[in-house]
Amino acid sequence: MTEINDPSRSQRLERDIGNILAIVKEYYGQYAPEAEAEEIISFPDVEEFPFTVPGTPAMPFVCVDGSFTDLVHLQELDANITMFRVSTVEYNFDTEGKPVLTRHHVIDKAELVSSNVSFYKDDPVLPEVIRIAKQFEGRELDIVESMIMYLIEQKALFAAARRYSNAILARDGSLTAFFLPELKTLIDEIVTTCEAHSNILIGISKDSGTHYLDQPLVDEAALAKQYAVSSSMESPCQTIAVRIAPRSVRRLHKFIMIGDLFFAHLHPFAEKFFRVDLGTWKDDPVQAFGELAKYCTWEATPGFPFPLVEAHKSAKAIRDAKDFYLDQVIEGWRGSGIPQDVLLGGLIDKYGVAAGKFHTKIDMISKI
Amino acid sequence: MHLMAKKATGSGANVQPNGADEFLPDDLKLVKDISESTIESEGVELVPASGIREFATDEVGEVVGAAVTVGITVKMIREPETLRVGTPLIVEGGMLHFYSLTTDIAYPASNIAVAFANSPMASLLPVKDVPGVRGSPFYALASLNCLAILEPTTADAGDEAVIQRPFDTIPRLLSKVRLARQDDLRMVFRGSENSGVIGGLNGIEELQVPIDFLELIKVPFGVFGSTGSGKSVFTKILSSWIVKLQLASLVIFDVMGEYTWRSHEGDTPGLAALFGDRQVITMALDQEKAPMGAEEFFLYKENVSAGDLLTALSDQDLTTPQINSIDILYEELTKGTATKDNLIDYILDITEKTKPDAVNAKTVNALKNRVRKFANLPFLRTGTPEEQKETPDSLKRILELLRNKKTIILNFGRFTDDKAYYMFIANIVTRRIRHEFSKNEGTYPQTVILLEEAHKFLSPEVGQFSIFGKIAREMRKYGLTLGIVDQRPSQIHAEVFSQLANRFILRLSDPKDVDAALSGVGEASQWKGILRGLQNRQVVAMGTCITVPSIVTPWTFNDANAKTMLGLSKIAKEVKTSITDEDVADI
Repeated sequence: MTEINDPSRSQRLERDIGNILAIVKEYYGQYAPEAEAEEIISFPDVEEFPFTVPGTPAMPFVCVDGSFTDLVHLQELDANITMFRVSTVEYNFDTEGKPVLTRHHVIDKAELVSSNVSFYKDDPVLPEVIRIAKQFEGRELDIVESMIMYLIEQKALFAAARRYSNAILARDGSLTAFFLPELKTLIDEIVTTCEAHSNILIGISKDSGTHYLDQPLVDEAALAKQYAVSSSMESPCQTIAVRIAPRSVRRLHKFIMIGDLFFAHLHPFAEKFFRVDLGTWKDDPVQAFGELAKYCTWEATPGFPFPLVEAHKSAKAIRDAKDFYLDQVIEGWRGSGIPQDVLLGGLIDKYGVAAGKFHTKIDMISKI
Repeated sequence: MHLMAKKATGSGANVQPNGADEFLPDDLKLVKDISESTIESEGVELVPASGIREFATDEVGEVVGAAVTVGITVKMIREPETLRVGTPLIVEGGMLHFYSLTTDIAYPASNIAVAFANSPMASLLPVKDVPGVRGSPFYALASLNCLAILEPTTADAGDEAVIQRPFDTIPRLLSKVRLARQDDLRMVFRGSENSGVIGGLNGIEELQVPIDFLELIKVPFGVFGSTGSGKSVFTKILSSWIVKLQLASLVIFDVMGEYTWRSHEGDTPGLAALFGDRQVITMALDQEKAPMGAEEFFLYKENVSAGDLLTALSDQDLTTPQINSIDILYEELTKGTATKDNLIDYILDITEKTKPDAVNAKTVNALKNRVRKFANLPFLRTGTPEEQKETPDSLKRILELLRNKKTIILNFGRFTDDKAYYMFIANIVTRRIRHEFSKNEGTYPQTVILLEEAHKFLSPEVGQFSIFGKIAREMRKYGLTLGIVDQRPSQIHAEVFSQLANRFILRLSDPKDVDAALSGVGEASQWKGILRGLQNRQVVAMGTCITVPSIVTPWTFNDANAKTMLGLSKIAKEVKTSITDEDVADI
């Protein structure tokens, strides 16, 4: 504890924190409540689409979300045995206006995930992903796993696009892709199929950190400020979708962008704007957002479609099933001839740490 | 390094001769392997084409926790308001069925309802209205007490093959839990030649619950319940079966005059009304208010002991000097140095001059005031030893009746108003019976003394004088058993409860009484919740006389039911009313 009590160290720390807070103060000072009324932010590159919820029967809402959990880490191969889950859920409303879960489809897929290109020499996507991931040393496996999950999600979305007509098809996150021809082809196929089936294809981001509006605040915060968004009953805010001009998006976006990028306030009591990528029905955003808003009336998440919450919940449940799948791996390991200490050293705990990693050993020693 | 040494399976094409790639498979081709078609075909549809399944009306939920020492925890799928504490359930484990009772229903500690309660946003879709992929986020947990494990041996072996055993293992997680059905429990509640039905099982009223009366009468038992809980009527059901099965004689101190012909309260038949006054003998202390056909009851004062008097006066706050004085005076009486031949008259006769030195004059006066009420009672007489031999008192008659396996009801008539008379008579009669039973071991048939207001005799203070504590502890081997009936079990000495092999608990309002009634019971804490939820008339029956502890709604005790349930061809009342003047013309 002596180093903490060192006066010079204490002074340095005080000075550093003081500097940080000064920057934060300056930043927020520009947007202090008293200055709010005076300053009107102008967004030259946006288009507004106020909308209302039509009284027509709701379209089915189908959404896809994925998650994964690491079971075993094979240190000598820099590979994980990983279990992926992608969930598709479909909701409708019954004649009394109550939501009904009409489909809940789950695919669990175990994969050997490695940052070694040799594993995927003939795969059209992963070698390039691994090449990019190598630039993020220490996080390679994470990136490859995320990409595999994205691929399964996209395939599930494609399956849904083919299966449904006149439905809202949503995925968690944006409708973007790496600059890889196979990914572009896949997402194009999804869009084409959706168009052919009159499906509204959307991607909704729970939180967005973009700055397309060229403001110091992130876009969703700038819009909330502009439209005086409040979740209070006393001051409900209008339902509106704001389209960011495609040229602004193209200027800043590094990936393949499918459809138009909107920020939407989907319920009068919604506490924020959500980023919504609209892949189809781009010519009729008022109609598309009106349909989407029908599923954004849940008390738990006003302004955010509840089917996505449930899809997320379903996908995340793979973590609860981890022990079950691990048991199966252990069962298969028996009699396989692979030494047991490989398995024992590779078992991954709930924090994602493998027992045999040297890092784990250091952590343990650090506690002494 | 072990993996490095292994050769991979597969064609082996594209592998390099040396280095890390040697052992690698050809290609995982992830993107090609997973197609939109395989997503559909290899995945699982969790909602069938017919939609989310409707839960069956008897489904309760699934097991989410269990411990043999604690019980079973169930996540409920039904509204908590549709399940009641005490409801019998079946947990369908992998191989075993766990017959359980609901002991508690509660919401989990971390409850997201807190975040959404009192929402002002009336126009929104309520949180509970969205059917979640993992069920409702709002659910209750039910705690179960497993009473027995039912182990079917083989599917086609039939009911007889059901093996019951105590709760010695736990069901697998996510086992289905449902309401118990009559079929599940038919074999659990099998009767025997010594059993009789006391009522319907709570939750499955059509399932009649028998108890083994041979087991019941062997060891002390207790019936506990607040005033108005149905305790007296239930005790009548027990008594009726004991008389019907002729497994024991009964001695009943009938303070309220309920047991002979008809009860004033609840209009229920008495034992004489059911079995006739030849099997059930009533003896009346008060000839002016004696039930039809009752014999006169009287005692000789000479037979009253210090203990009898102390028990009778126990609720009059006797001081230690007063208690000691009674003992000293009784000693004088037994030595033959008293001025009278019995304790009551001796106390009333003592003067300053005749009192023993060890007794204080003021104490004597205080005792006189308390004893005076026993001076001129019609059922207390004086008699010389010769007179007593020539005209024996009712105690001798009672013993004679017990030898002949009769049931005896002592009716108190107008002497019900003062509990001292009841305590006095009950103590003196029981003391004599105990004395005879222990002196003549094996000559009397099994006898049960039914003791109402038991706390008055078995409280820690009175227990030292009264005879009942000794009977509860010692008399089993002499064939004399105590049946305790009481509304304040908390006032009964804790040691008495350790002697009870069977107990029947009805609604008790004071938590102290609930604690006392359950003292010495395994999983007492789990039963507390059940007792709290008991309705009037409902009885928790537990002990050696019943297969598993059960909540029972006793059958309605009326003439018609008594006839049917007890299997009587004709009750005594019917016989009496069917006798015409013509039938008795010759008499």
